[in-house]
Amino acid sequence: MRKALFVAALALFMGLSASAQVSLVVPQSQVAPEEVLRWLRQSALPAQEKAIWLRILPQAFEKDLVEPGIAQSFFQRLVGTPPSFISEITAIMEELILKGIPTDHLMNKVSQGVIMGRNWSMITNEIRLRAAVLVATEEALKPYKPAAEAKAAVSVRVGSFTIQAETPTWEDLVVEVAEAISDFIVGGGDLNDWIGIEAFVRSRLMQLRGRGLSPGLVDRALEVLNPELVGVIVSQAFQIERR
Amino acid sequence: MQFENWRDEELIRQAIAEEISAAEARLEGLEKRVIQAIATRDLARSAWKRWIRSVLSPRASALRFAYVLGALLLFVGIGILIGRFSFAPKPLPALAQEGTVFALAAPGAHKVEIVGDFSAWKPIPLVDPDGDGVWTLILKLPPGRYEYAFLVDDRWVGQDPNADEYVRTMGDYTSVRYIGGGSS
Repeated sequence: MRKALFVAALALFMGLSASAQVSLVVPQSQVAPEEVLRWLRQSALPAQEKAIWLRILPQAFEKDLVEPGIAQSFFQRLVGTPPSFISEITAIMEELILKGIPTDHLMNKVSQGVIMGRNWSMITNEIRLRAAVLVATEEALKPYKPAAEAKAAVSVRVGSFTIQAETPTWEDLVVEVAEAISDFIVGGGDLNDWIGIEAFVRSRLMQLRGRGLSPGLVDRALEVLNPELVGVIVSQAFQIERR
Repeated sequence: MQFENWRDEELIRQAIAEEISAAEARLEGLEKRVIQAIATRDLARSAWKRWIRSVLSPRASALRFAYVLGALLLFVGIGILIGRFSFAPKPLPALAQEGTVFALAAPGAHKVEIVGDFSAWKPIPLVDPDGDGVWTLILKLPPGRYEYAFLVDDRWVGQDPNADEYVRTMGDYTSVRYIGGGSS
């Protein structure tokens, strides 16, 4: 009997030891849109900006332009920041949402800037730049958008967490192209180097082909992408005269 | 004097003869009883004690030595097998099947966290249960491109040696991982 107990205790110890070596985490818990709106109503954001967000956010959630978990984190960081910053960031996001452009990644950039300890002026400058490139990219790629597109969402539930895995859309592709251009420029690249930017975007899209973006979408984008198109985007975003 | 000595010897001889004849009944079957007692005591002792006793006995032969060596090797072998499958850290490819492994060597750090777009830049703690200075975490992430960095005692570490690429944002580096097969 004592021997059996010892063996059982040893097996339990070994099992616990092995499992304690690593921890498995599912990063984001699912936040309901209503939860974010409720939180926003009670938040200490300036009244004017709060009214704007409460007007545009329900639509943004409905059209999948904003993910509730990202929005909640963004608003939590926005509270207590200088009113001028809140006002400018709200104006940028409002413009994008009204144009039907996803803003998740820009909200995330704000959160990133805060956790990096950057000042508000630096964060605002980068968000302004990325938003300008995004709007220009959306307009430049609009003629090439496929006619019909079905969006499907699959929820993967692990324990108490839910991950929403959605079929990538043309809007997601636009965001990735715009972000690649912005990364090139923010990283110190020359915004007149259209060939360099095009190569950088092409490489990014190839990496995302089949993991984040569907191969069909990527192939379509690679077909139309060229330095001239990049020139159109950059010129429009930075309002510079095209060569 | 000689006569007295002779009488004494005679008396002694008589006494011994009487003693022997008196003990004769008790000595009968003594050898058998001794053998039986020894056999019973050996049976009562547990098998492994008898085995150790026989091995430690000065009469242990070369065969017994080989037997001990074999048992020792078997014992060590089982120990290695248990260690290999129960205690040794799993190889990275095996862990990668359960999720994406994030690991950072930060000896002496009190706290290591990961922040990324997958968590809306909210910190998730890494763990170092064996205290070897290598902090690890497995994240279940759907396929895609993810930007992240480590916070080592709240200090930004944007260049993970295991990253696929780096991007510069707001004056510092951020690591990038691509999750999923790709190019399908």
